[in-house]
Amino acid sequence: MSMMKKVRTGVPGFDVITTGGLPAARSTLVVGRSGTGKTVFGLQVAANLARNGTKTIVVGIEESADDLISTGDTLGFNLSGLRSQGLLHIADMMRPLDEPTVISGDYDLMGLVHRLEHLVAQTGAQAIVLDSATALFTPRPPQDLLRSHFFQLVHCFRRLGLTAIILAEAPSDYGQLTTLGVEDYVCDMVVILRLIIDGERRRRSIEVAKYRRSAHYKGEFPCTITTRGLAIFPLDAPDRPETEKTERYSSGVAGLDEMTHGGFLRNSIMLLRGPTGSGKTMLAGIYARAGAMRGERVVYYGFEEPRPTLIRNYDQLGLGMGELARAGHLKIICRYPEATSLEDLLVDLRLGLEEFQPSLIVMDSISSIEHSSSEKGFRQFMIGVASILRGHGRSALMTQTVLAGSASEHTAPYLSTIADAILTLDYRPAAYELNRMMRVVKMRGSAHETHPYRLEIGAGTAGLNVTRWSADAFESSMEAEGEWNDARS
Amino acid sequence: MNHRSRWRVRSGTRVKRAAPVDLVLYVSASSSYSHTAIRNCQALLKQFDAAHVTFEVCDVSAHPDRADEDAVCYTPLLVKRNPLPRTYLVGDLSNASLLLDLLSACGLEPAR
Repeated sequence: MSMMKKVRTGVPGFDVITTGGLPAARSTLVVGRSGTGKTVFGLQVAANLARNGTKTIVVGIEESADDLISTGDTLGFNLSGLRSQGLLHIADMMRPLDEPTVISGDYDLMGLVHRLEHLVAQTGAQAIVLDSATALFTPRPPQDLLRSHFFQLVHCFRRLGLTAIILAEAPSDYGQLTTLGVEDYVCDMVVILRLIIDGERRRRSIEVAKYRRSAHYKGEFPCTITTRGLAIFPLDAPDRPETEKTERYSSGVAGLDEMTHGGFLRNSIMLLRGPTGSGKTMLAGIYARAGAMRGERVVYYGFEEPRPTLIRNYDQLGLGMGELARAGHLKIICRYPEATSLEDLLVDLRLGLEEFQPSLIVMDSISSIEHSSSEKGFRQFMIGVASILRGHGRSALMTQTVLAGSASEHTAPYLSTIADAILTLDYRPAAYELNRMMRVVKMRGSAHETHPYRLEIGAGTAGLNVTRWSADAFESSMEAEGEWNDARS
Repeated sequence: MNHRSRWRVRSGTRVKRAAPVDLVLYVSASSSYSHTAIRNCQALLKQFDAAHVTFEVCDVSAHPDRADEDAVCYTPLLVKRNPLPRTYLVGDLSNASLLLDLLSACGLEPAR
């Protein structure tokens, strides 16, 4: 397996799920219904290969060369620039659609084969993108002829030593791979692009259905098309050497640092669970503020209220978040999860990490995302977030809203595996006095306190107090509560 | 040229005085279908007055550049370039009646 030569595509995530990229000097079939992004993928790979010095031919049968170039240029692929540098050749092989074509007897693909041989000899190309096989085989020849034509095509690519991408239309998202029904047999790799309706949303996914002689990731992975082309989320965590660091940093709350025996570990993901009003957003704000005050770069994603409201609320608590944002250490981004797709949020997050280079990320709250998406969509999103965070070696604090009294109940398994530390905040809604209790449920790589802490919220920066709840005090509070409940019933 | 005169040329009654029907047959030297097509085409065109039809065979394997104009992918491919609209006949022309129909639509009938 390791002997196989592969060509890296540079499409974010694609080289991960294919463990290295396209099979070199072999054909890859990319299938999908109309609108799934086949052409975008094809052009993106062509541009990346050309940019890295692999001369590439794009054969346009479905669209004219001009249309392909303008599609590519709007996505920033700079096809026109690459073309003028002689790295990319766009062969316009579109047949006029308004002129009649009639079939009379048998035929073959030798015309195209000769032209491609000529083009390759002329340009020195080592890669080719054919857009698309479906258009090439229109009108569609009988099945046995079609099979032999397609074989002829793939054989031609192989003889010319071309790393090829053949685009083909699929009749549906699942089931038969292509409308022609023959292409997948002779290609070394088959990639499926999908645009699926999931509840009220549309979701893109990509799947490597086949990869001869190579390992690859199985199943569907979320992807999205942004202004920079296709981006795929492999949903796994690439190893980062920095993860070995044992450096700690303060949560901004003395009592919490005490609970965690010295603060949070770098490059870890914290999940803060608790019912509404338990102090999650406040803790998240203090965490972000502490980071920014230390001179770190912090990104705060707010999914629950508009930015001005959020900043005002924090100002009321004396956190001065607006000021920190203006100073440039803190970036506050507020989004309505209902108004953006989860894939776009992931892209946002990744671009934000690359451009702003924050060391701390806050997401308040992931529950707003959970409520606006399907279970599967949310699970993929969270795994995608974790993969991005770990890939960049960043720390994050995420809040999750749960029902009162249930914060310490089981987290969804995928969430608890993502989180390196789980903190719970809770109170009993029926109690006379609202006693907020905080616990560290788990903390990977660190010892931590196992008994509860009490969280008290007052006004001002130092208004949040986390103190060890002694067994006696805890018990008497329980008793008092029990008595109060008894008296009421 | 105004619409009226174009219409006359295309209407069929005066077409024999217009430019000859222009046919190009794209073939590949390495394809047996291509050889069949050349044979079928030449046999059929013998029945027509040579003054009314120009016929050219273009071997794509020798002149790949010349295939660009008609976006040739399949061979054999017979293209009627004149009169317009261009019409494409894909295949070895084993069904002679299709070519006969095409020529007839241009106002050409077999000479004998």
